Amino acid sequence: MKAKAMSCGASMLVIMLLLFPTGAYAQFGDIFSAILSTITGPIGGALTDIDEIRSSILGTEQQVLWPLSLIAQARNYISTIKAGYRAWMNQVYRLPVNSANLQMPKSLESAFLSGQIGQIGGFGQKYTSTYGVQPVSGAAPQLNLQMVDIEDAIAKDATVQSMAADQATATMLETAQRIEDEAQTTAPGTADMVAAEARTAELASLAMQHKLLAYQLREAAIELGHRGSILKQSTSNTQNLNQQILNHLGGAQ
Amino acid sequence: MTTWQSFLRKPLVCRFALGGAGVLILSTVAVRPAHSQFGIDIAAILAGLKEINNTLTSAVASPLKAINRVEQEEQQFQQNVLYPISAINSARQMATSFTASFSSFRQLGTLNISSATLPNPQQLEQQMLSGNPNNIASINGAYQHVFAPLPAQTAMPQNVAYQVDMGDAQAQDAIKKAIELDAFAEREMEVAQKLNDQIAASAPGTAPILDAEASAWVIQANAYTQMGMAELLRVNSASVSKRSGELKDSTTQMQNLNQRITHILTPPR
Repeated sequence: MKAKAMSCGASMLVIMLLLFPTGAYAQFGDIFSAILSTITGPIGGALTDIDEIRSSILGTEQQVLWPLSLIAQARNYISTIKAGYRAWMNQVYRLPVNSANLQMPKSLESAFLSGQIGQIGGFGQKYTSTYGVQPVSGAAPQLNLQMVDIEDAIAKDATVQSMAADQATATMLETAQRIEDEAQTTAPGTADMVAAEARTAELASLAMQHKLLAYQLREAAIELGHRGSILKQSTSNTQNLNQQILNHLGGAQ
Repeated sequence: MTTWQSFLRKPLVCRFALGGAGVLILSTVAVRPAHSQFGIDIAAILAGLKEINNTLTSAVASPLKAINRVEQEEQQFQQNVLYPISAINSARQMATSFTASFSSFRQLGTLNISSATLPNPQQLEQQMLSGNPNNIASINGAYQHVFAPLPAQTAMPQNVAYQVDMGDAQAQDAIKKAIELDAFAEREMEVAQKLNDQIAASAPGTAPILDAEASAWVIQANAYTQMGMAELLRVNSASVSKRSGELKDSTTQMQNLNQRITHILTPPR
């Protein structure tokens, strides 16, 4: 009797032990399954995709956009260009072009080919020694004196500006070569900085070209003005001469 | 024996008592360790968490580690190959070293030159070299003071007057354009100097912006060069035309003179 009661109690205990944990597991099992499914599916899958994409981008960068071999090749190319041209071009640039024979023209030529604005000081005197001094007042018609003066002035001004331009050219060439040196060692990502600098130097060079072009315009204008002025004078002179001849021949009207 | 005692000795009551005791023991001993205060099965949770941990390790940590490796490799590639600090600093130093050169360009472009000696040529020279567009309006007067004004219409044949007027006009046009070019050149050198200063403080990512700005100015400058060259072409053409016009006029004048002399020298019939 007592044994029956004991077995009855034990069986209930076993039933309870079996039922309770099983019930709890069933309660969280779905949640865990959902979490695991989310981790392995959307999260894990996305991470794998990101890894593949990033690897692909890196591969493209390293093999297509900026392969080290081609970076080295570009640098070697610049090195070859430098080695092949720079010395020769510098040599040609420095070739003397002096051609005058006589003392004063030689002195003037030496000054305006110096490429040094420090030579401007004595330039006026050398110019006058070669091309003559301005005639004194009364030595020629005032119009002619003024034309001589403005033409000499423009010629001197332009020549002085050409000396300044030569000096700027030397600096610009140094700048260009420095930029080329930088291009040889710069990285693909910093090449834009060097390119921007080159473009800026180009702008400065164009500005100097504008200065020189302005002088060309002035010289051409003065030459035109001179011809116009001569035409005004010659027309007047011719008319006077005609009149005098006709007067002399008695054919004046 | 009381009624209560006889009741307890009944077999059914005894069984219920035993069963109840079993349930009591179950609830106090066996069930309690498996339940927390919220009634959750810790063992099941631990098992689930262990499984989640394993999954996180394989499905999440592993790809993340791979991503991290790729990112590090990318960072190294950028730092060592694409944008090395040394190259950035070198480019900046190069720009800084050009500061003096750009300043020199400006000085060489704005030399204070003055060579004329007589008052009228001095005034014309000063205005021509001023680089000040405000002086364009007064060029005509300064020009005429040097090269003489257009003679009265009766003082020369009309065709000659036209040529003289055209020549003077084109000469003055060229002088005015030269003043404009000088003004542009001054601004361009100023901008070049400022751009150089900006490049010295730029980053690889901002340099293309400055490059674009400099490119725009270069295009603009090329346009001004074209403008100047066109003007130069016109003023040179004017010289050619003037030579041709002079030849025509002298030919006509000589013909007229010959005709009149012949007419005078021929005895009347």
